[in-house]
Amino acid sequence: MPDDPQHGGRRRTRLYALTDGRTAAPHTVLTMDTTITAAVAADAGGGLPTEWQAILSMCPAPDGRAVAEIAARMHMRLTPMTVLLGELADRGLIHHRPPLAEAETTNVHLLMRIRDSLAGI
Amino acid sequence: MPEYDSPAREAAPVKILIAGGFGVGKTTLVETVSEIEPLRTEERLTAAGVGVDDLDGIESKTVTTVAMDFGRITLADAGVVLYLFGTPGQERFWFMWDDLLNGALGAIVLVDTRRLDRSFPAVDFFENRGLPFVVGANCFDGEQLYTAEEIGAALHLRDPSTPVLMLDARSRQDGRDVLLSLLDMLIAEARTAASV
Repeated sequence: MPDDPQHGGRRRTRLYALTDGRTAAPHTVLTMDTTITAAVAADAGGGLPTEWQAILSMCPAPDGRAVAEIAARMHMRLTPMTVLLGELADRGLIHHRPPLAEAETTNVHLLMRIRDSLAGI
Repeated sequence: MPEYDSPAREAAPVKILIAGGFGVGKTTLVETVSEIEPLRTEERLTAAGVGVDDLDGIESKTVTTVAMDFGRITLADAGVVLYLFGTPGQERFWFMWDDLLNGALGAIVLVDTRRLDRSFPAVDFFENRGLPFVVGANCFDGEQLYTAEEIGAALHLRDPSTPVLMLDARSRQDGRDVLLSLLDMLIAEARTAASV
């Protein structure tokens, strides 16, 4: 079988390998604009899969990275990435911050703060 | 409901969608205002016979991979990180994709007045889902033959007071102005809702 030209000759790592063989859906539900922050150091305890370490080192506290951004930088599609990150969240390796709920996105004071900050860019 | 497990001092993510037809300047606009080089992410969507009039009753299933270019603007003073998602062109798949709209503040629909029809699906979609949006008419070659009123009328906007701005997607100031216009509209709507 020829190498996958899209991945520079590397074979794509199977998702079951990344999720450590678990196939059940993670308990933690993440969306593409959820912010992920590493809860542990990338080399904590050793033995973490390389991809997990790569994710942890990509989203150090306090800023972290959005799920979509991690997916893009890891060259994975959104759905597999949310499954993988859900697994990491279930194991307590990452924190996640969901996007603002509707009650917050319709809050006049927050919208005005966003507007004023935007005016300064 | 996902549990909320982060310290409050972290910036909260919020999302604005940049929609419009193919080649209308979505990625250019994202690139102009984003603090990072635009990133691309993909999602695979399945729709069972969406938009297909199949009189034979045979189930048709379509799978498509959609790609989104996105960027971000960190607004430290407001305590938020604004993500700008350029939505993929295959609007008929959007309704399968709740994640796209959930939590979105609003949208900017870009139009090219030479190919206005390419932006109709985005307008329809946001009107049906009730997501507030403003229209940005990208002035290619720095020219715009039509007025904002004419463009608004041609788009058959359900709400005639929807702002229509002329912009050059390559201009940072124009990109900022169209975002500010969206925020002004959201603030006005939030005020109205609060006073009812």
